[in-house]
Amino acid sequence: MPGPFEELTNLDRVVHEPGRLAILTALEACRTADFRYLQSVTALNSGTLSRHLQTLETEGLVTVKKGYRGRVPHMTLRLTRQGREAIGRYWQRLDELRRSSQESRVPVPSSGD
Amino acid sequence: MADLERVRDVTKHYERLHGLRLVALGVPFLISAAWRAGWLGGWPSRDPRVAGYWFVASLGLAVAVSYVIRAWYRHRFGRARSTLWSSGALTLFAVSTAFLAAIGLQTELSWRLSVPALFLSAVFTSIGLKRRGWRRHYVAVAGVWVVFAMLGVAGVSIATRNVALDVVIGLSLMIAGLGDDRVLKSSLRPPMAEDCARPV
Repeated sequence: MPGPFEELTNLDRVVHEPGRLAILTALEACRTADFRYLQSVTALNSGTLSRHLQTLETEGLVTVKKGYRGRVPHMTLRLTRQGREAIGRYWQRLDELRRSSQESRVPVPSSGD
Repeated sequence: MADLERVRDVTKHYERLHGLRLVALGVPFLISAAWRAGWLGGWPSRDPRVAGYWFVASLGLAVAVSYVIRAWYRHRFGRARSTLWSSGALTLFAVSTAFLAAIGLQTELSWRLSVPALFLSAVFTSIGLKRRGWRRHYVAVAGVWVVFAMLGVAGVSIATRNVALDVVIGLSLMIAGLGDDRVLKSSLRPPMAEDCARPV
């Protein structure tokens, strides 16, 4: 049976990265969001956000629709079904890990004992 | 690192947290209350019908201003479109239906305690206490409606209650709007001008 450390290393690394996790969490809570909103809600700078979005798009977790609003480039992002499943699996796995770590925790004797 | 729960909640309710829109809608009600109380010296007209037209026009203007404010929020923080379930449309429909039923009940029973106002107060309390009270300013709104519900019991005249109704609506919109705006601004950080969107 794998221990908690092995379980931890089995987490989806694409989703586990904090910046990408924040992006996926935001996209999971809405139908679509644009680049500017994701910047506002995650507080990531545009370079870092672009890199994370590229990774998520390559993995098939988000779709990116590029266009222009006037002369300004505008990007609309949406979570794919695969992305929704991936983040669902991730939280489920974390919950399982938390439960298993609580079950295996040895009670610490109090100082009065 | 942003708090993920806050990221989820703010994104889910983003459009509803555009609080300054509610502030704009509250202004006509406060002006109407001032008119009813006679503080405007008969401006724009002493005729209630003409004043009613002015009220409708000012409400229309407030709605137009609220759309300008929405555009400002989108320009500052970006856009996030809600799902049908989190848009609030279904909740609004359910609450409106129940509110109309409460008005029917009030007419039927002729109680001095205002049932529709108490119903609204319960709705606002539930919004204020949800999710560890992240929109706790709605509890203050609920308090305002409880006070209004009690006015009949306290023997306040119909004319004064009419003024109070406008005050309560205007005040509720102001408190809710300013509170929601504060929640939004404390949760989002607008991108710097030089750090604008660029293609992936």
